[in-house]
Amino acid sequence: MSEHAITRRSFLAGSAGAVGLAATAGYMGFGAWEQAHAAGGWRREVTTAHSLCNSCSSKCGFTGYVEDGRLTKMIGDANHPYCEGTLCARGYGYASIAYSEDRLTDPLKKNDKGEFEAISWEQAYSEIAEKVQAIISSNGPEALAMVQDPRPSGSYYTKRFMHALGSANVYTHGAACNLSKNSGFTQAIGAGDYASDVANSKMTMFIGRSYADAIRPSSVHDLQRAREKGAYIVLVDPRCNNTITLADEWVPINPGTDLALVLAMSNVLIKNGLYDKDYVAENGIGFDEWAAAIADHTPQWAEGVTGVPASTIERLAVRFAECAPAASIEPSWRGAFGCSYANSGETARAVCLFNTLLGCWNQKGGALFLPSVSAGEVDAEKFPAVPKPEGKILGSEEYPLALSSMGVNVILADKAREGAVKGLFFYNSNMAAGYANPDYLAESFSNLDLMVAVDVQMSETCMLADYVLPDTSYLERLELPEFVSGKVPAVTLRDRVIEKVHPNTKPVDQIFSELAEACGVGEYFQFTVDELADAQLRTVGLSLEGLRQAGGTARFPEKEYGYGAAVKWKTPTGKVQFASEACEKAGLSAVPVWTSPRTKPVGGNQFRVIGGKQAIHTHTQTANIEPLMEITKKYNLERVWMNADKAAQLGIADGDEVEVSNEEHTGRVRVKVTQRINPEALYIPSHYGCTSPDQRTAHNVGLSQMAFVPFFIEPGYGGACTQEAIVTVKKAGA
Amino acid sequence: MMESDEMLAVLSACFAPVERDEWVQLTTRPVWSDFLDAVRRALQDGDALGGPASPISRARRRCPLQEFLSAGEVKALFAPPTYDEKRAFAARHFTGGLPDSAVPVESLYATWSNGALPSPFSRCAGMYQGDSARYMKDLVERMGMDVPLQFAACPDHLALELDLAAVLVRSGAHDAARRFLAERLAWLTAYRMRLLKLGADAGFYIGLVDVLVGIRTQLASDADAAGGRARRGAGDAARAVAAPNTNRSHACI
Repeated sequence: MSEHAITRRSFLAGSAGAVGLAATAGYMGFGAWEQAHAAGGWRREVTTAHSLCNSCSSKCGFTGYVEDGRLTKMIGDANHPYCEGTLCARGYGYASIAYSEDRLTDPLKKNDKGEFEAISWEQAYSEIAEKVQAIISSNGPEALAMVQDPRPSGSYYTKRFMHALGSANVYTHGAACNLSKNSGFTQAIGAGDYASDVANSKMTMFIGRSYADAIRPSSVHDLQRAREKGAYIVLVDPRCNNTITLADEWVPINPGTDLALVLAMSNVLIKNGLYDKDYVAENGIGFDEWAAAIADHTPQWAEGVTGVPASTIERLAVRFAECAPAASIEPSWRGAFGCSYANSGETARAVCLFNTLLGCWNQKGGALFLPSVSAGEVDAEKFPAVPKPEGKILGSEEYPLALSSMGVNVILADKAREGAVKGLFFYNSNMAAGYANPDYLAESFSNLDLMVAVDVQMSETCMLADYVLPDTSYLERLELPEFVSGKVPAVTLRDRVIEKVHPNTKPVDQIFSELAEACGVGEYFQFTVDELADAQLRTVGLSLEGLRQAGGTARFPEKEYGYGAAVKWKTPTGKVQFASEACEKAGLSAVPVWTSPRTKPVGGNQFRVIGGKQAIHTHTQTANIEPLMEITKKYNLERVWMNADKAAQLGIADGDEVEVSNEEHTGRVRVKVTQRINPEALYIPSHYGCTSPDQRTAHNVGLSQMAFVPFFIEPGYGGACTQEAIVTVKKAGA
Repeated sequence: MMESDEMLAVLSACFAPVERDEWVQLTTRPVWSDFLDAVRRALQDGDALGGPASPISRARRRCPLQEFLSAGEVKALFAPPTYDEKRAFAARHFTGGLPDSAVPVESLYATWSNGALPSPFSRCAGMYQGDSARYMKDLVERMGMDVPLQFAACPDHLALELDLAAVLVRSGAHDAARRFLAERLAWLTAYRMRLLKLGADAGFYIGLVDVLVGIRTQLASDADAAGGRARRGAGDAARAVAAPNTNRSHACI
């Protein structure tokens, strides 16, 4: 047979398929190779890079150490405002995603049998583009939409892509996270968020938020500092969460009734003249109307709603007044009123109004509006502006109070059913599993002509898609600069730590730039992410290389926050709105008054489902990470929590398998019986119940919280009402 | 007659993405039948990987493949997939992240690292770029070659391991090739389990894996025999070969 025969082709060697004797002398067995490394006799190339974690949305800074191309360790960056030198467990564990067996390695297309098969990028782009064009031709660009969980590059490129196509329908995950809270805040104070100055406070109340579970290390550090200075820390939560070790008091409130507690505490302050009258008079509008409306929202009344003794409500309100202005209700996040109930937006409004009664805005120890820096205008020739789409984002008419910067993503399910939306893109978003009832969403999305998901692993959303495009992991890509607000604002950078593990994966900037090209709108993407990052940084006096040299984080000391600054309220009235015309227009009360949640357990074996983070997981995103799931299994963290007295009534013992059931779903799981939970509540950790068999570690562990939640959208605000679910529980087999 | 290095190269091509023309050439007569004959010889006699066939080995009776493989596997090997069938199988199973993924990469079936190298995931299994990948990359580079881009994620891809063995044989480093194959192919038992879950579609690849497992067994038993010879001295060589080796191939001599 010829030396050049087909049977002598080699991937490694030249056409002859052989190497010289000197080369073969380089052979060494695996054992000898291991020994050489262990003895330090192997020259190693060590590199480091500063980057941002992606295990949750905090994006903490770290330095990644890489030896011969492989990640060896991560150290939290001391200069990063959220990290302060500390990474949490998920930060370390999530890094394994880069090397996971479950990584998507090639573009995938669902075939006629409903199975995925690998295709080329060219085929994926051309087929998707063809369908996009067909949808635009028949239904207009408004029939296309994008859902993304914001990340620095993802936010920019997905929005730019959709706007280039002419669609305004760009949604964050917000409706299933903090949309109601931020929208409610905006109605009251004209800002979507604020920060409690916990470290300097005399009293801070947390409603449904746990710093020790949804860890941002700097927040935990602040709480430690507050404790050391003697601050009084109160946790209002149906479940005694892990922050209790840094708190003074747990208020085991009935789930969904936080609004009643805040209104009753407000009632106490107003009735007893314990609020900052001058501040309210100077800054507020509609106060008298609100005061009259909640005159009957007394602690005694609230006790019947919240389960919190009237004396406790009164005591907490008075203590707040004594600590003011170095006191506040912390803004929370998803927690109790980010999107959980039909009254979440109104709870958010009430929280802002209560803080206003304390006169704590921009006061040391109070509630602060911290400065931020953002990129300025970049070269319009190199980075041309995309024309603003003509239409409004879908859902803005039905949910007028929802922030358009987030959008009501869950309405896309109904729009798909109606045929108003034909094509849906998802980036870094597992909407199908975590945003609303999974069955309802799956049924809705089956009506689409096109569904494309971009992710690193086969999520439940990917499973429903027609095309799945493989993203690089966060360790393998540079992203656009991330600007961080704070007492000293900063800019940070997610940078490439390791080379791409899988050559056929692509980062988000490349995917949407190339997809735009295929769709005929490539003129808006004629630049690289490096070029744009550098251009953005130059608008604030930095450069890409300069930020890298600075350790990935740069501060803006000239923008440092100062206490006591007067607030310019960005509401329509320029005041803190105790009464809101927009809310009234949306069919709500002009002033926040008690509004019941949509559902309520009636006792017996009925419970309200509540969710919440565990310290080692982020929603459903980290459940497939083996090192983190090992912790889950070691400590049986997948168990649901049930109140011990209720469990005794139902004949359920700690560790029993129980059947959890309602009209939406039935499932079995073991139970943790504890006094650390309100009797009305059944805690289902928010991370489990993965139904994607492709996620080998996560599949079939625990229950999915969302599987029990009926599809319902909060009036006015558009939240997904993720805790408006009643279930019955019984011992399995009983 | 197809030499052992060519047989390894063809085995490599079976698990690698190759062009249509190349696959058509490999799977048509006489190349494919030569390949199956080379496989038969390798399963029958570990010396087949050591160099050109000796006169005595040529004189041995030819054991049919059925002696080493199941009837179904033999049938599958005698009817290799068309290019389109091979491509379709790869699109469903040689891509990552799907329940039916069966990517032939050693790291996915071995402990990521035993701790010889700095590693945050030492005891984990089922992850890309484990120590076997690092070893392969180092080895390829020590021998003056580069890992091709298509295997950058997984230098310990079965196709590349087989290709390296072929290069060693072709370059005259027969002992190194034998040691390499005996050492590297241990993970195929676990990989075979993965393929079995795919059902009938995977018959061809299961057959190939069984060929490789058989070759490795042959090499391991020969290594034992060689060790025995070294211990007992040349005079006991014949007894040493016969005693520990219970492989059916010797029944055919």
